[in-house]
Amino acid sequence: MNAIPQHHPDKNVLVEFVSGSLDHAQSIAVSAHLHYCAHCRNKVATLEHIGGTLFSLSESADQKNNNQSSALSSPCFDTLMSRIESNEQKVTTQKSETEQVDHLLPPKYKTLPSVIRKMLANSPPSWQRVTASLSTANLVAGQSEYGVSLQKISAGGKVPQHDHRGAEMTVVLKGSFSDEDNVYQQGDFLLKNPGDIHRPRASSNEDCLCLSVEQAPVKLTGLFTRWLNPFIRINPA
Amino acid sequence: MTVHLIRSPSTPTKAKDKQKMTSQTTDIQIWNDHLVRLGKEQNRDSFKALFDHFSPLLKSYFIAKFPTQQSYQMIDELIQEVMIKVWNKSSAYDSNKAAASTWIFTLARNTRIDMLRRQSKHNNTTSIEVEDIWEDITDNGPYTFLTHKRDEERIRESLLSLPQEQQTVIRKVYMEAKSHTEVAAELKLPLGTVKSRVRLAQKKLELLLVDDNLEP
Ligand SMILES: [Zn+2]
Repeated sequence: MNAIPQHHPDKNVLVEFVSGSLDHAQSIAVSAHLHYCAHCRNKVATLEHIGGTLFSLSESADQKNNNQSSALSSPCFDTLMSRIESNEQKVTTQKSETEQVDHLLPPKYKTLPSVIRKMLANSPPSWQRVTASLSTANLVAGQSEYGVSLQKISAGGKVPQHDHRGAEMTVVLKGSFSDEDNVYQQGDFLLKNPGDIHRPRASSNEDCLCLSVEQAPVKLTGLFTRWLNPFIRINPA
Repeated sequence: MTVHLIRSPSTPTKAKDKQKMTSQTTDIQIWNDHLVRLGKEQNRDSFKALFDHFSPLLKSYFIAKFPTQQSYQMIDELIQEVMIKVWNKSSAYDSNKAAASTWIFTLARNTRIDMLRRQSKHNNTTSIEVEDIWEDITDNGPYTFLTHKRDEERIRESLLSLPQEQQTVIRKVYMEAKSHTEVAAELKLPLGTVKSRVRLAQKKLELLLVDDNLEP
């Protein structure tokens, strides 16, 4: 974790992440960025503080405007306590689950954000070569609106120019790559919107590994997920 | 549905408000202390106090997202789930990082996301859980630059000083957990307008909530 990320999700994305309205798969990309970015973790803490404050001040507004809440009684404390007591054993046995996950992974994955380690441990990546310098592996994220995958560009490798049909979030996990505009290093977060075109190229000294979360374009739904991947839509020219 | 963030500025009970606000300023520390004690000693009295204080807040929170009467049973279950998490996870609570209300807000948010995912037909049970996405953040080192002001009276006043249109949007975003796109559709506003209202409100609240000289 040497480089400090220079490219961050914008404030609106972080607000949606914190309030829980951001799509599940996109939240994975934001979470991966936060793993590398103390700056955004601080922002998230501030946003959570604002959310928590609104939450803690919400009761009076609710009582004033909303008679319906009184029709709903609060749960009974004793019922809750007996549930807790009967659950207690179960909880202690489940605790070490995240640590177990790491034993299943090759060492090279151990520094990745925990959400990615968990996906890799649940279903090991099956790499598919797309071009001489690009491989991808789909990740199982438990949803179907977005294609979630790892992308590996070999050192110095170019990715064919491609456009984006759905919004795509990319987080650099290892190495770096550049496109026409910028150099992206470990932890950097990119959001490409439909219509954006770019031509990424990995740095010459190191392979580049990225997380990609791409919205499935509506008209292509139903095809194999790999065809939804922007890197795979090679322009015929 | 009319949205009043806290209490409309024209409410004529100023003196009473003042008294209530002052007591709330000290409250915030009380809940932090209860939560710390629960974490350290599994103290039942602290848990009961937290339960009595936070269940009504949780109820408001979940009603904002699930307002129909058919949801009442589910809301009851959600409140219990959050309180069970409070009990189970309290030993991980650090009062230097977050106020109890903020910490419980994040548990409530995660529980609500979890519920929506369980309801969704695409949910894959072998996949990652909500905690895998959000918990990583808080475990990831101290917030070195950040101190949060915990003066609820000031926060309450600053919320009321926001233009009504910003209050409406910020409440829909945090309490009803609507995406910017959903808020735009509901209020029949361009997405860009919603985004800029969120940013404006956010900026003002941050100035009041975070010690500016310590922000990086
Ligand atoms: Zn960042």
